[in-house]
Amino acid sequence: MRNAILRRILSSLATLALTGLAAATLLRLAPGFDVEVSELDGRTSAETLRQMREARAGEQDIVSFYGRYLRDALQGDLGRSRSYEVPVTGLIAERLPVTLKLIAWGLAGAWACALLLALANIAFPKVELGFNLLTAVMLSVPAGLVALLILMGQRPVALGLAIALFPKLFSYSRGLFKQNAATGYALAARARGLSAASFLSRYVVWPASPALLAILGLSVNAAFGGAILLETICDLPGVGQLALQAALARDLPLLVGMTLFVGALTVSANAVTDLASLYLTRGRGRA
Amino acid sequence: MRLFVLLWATCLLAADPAVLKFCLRSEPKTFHPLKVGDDASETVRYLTAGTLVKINRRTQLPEASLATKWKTLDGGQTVRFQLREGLRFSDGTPFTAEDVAYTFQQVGAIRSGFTDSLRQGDNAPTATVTGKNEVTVRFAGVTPGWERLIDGLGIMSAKSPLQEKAVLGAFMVAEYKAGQYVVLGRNPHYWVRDAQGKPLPRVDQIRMDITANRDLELMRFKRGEVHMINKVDPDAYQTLATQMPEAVRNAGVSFESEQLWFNQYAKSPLPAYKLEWFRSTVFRRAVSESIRRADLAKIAMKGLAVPGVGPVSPGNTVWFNTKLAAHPYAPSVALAKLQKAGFRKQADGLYDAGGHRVEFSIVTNAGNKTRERLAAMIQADLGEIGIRVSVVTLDFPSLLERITRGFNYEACLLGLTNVDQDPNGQMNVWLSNTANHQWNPNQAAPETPWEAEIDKLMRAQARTVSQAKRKELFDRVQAIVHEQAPFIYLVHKNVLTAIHPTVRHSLVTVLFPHVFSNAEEVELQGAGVYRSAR
Repeated sequence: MRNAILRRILSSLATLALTGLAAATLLRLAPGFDVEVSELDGRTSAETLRQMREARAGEQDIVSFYGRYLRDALQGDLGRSRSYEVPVTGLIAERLPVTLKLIAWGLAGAWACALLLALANIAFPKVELGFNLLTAVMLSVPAGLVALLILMGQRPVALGLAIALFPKLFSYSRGLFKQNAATGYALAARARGLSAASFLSRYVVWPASPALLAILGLSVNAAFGGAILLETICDLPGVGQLALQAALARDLPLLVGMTLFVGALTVSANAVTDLASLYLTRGRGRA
Repeated sequence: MRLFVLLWATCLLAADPAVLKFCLRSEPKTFHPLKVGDDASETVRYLTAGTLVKINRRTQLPEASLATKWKTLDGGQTVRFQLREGLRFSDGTPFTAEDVAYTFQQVGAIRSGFTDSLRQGDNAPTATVTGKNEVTVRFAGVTPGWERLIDGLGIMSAKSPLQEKAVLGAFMVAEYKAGQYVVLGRNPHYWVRDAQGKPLPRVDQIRMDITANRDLELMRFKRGEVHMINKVDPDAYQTLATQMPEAVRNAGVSFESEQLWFNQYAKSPLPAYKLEWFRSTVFRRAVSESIRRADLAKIAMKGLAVPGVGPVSPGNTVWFNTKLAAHPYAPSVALAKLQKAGFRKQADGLYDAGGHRVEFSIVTNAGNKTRERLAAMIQADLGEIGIRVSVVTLDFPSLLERITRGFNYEACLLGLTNVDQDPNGQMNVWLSNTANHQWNPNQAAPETPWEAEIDKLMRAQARTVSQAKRKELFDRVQAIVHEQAPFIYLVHKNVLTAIHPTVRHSLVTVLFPHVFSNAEEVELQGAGVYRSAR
């Protein structure tokens, strides 16, 4: 177990470093990386333009930039945002609570509905068609439209995130539950007259818990992705909105800082769920 | 009992300050008055900075502000200012002549578009304290229209520990959350009073939420969550005019234009034959005369614009060349001119003398519905004379890279903002050796006789003191641009704004900032008792 944890930490750190480098490289190669809107200001002289361009020279060589950036990041300094002219750590710290709250409520809502409805589907198989229709409709509604409806209806943004995450979580959970409910030992237990509650908890949900934990990790990633869209459309000042603004403004220090920070959060969430899943599986193996 | 009621009322009113709310569409890049270059920073500077002379947004004429009077010396190169006495910065630091001298010293030290506008060549103006409350400013050369230039020069304190954050304007920056909002508080030492002698500003705070989402801004306006919209799109204006007719304001033709230009840069990666078309005046004029400007104004701009004439909009009553009119819509004449120049029209389109099909792409920025509609209409108009046009929309940084670095574009459709009423503000656009001479920048020597003439005229008007003579010189520049069409002016937009009915004493002006140019005088309905009681 200890080796597994160590391996997981090392692979997470490597993933994180590579993700940051990939983000920096992509942004560096993006068209319009080294231009400023103020360059179109008809008053700006050639000398001022030259100085503006020189100020960005340090970001041209992406390898040396990233090397310096990682060194500073290890000391807790994520640099200074070029578009906001403030330290990146301050920006993230200011906006992180908004996103964490959004994601927590969104995930809680989506998971609660998904698990409850998936169990209801197992308990009442006759309504499966209705659940199928509901899932199909929700999957086909673009997340952008959900965000617009939330905005116009002045509903909580977390509701939008829950609606966006729900159909996939429901499909996965229902698939796992159905699989478990159809196993030989589950059918035998049911035939012996086990109560519905005990059957669902012991033979349907509990055996699915390692897989559900793994999906929980993935849903955290998906929630961060959804947060970008929802925060942008609903004008919620979280890190998702900040990430998009950083990309649009070609703000290299901010985007790399965001990538590393959000990457660390999601990688940690995945590592925790993976290890928990591993622990549960091993525990059962010993039993 | 009376005392109790009075205390209760005071507490109630004190807890509910009058907050004027509107949105900034981008992040203010800086709060430093000398580094301002973008609209959002300019807005904050306008509301917070004190200036020696101020351009009255109603009359468009200069008037006294921190300087009570001034005298122009040395044929227009030197100006001696008499300063107002007894003023204080927002932190209580006294305002003195040294502060003005210090500000000009900073102009020399800081490089920005704004400080460049005060320079001549590489030389910045200097200021010397020449007496108690007297400062003499010496520009690097004769500087006609200096009043308009220093209208943007926020005077900084030489002694305040808050440095540039100590201000002399009606408001001061009280709180800023990057990417979220800027809150301006009342400057307790602001010196201007209203006609009744009551202190200004009338509102306690201004809250500016930062959002690029115009639909959201409009929705919040309709809900009463923001009081003003400084620039309303024609589509939104029409919608709002039906839903809240009392809120919309159309101040007439703005200084802004939408324009199309062809890439004439010799080092661009375009094929030689295309460069030859784009460098041909006949080709550019033919394109210009094949565009239905009246329809662009009527359909794309919803009738809230006028056909584009030239570099100066008819809204700029001081500098517009009244002898000019928009190029006429005459596609058959245009085609005849093209055929005379060697182009030939065939069943499937127009071809040049070398047998190349005449086709080009127009790049413009994505997400601007009006501009995309303009491009689509131009595409249809040019199709009628056999020119095949494709429209490419790019995000703004990508577009900027194409037109300022790689020059890998054929034609570009953009709107350029003239915040400066004076032609000197456009100097770096018209001089052929500058980077902002967009159609063919950074020329070592003017590549065409008409560009050489524009260079000469622009430099001459910048050295001339007489307004009439300057107007004559700049009229000629406008006439050349009209004739040669390096920029094809499409429409001049109207100043469209929205003001919530709860806002009183508001004023909409053609000059920037259109809707909150008198923010200090604005009053919010329902909060007047508290203010007038003080």
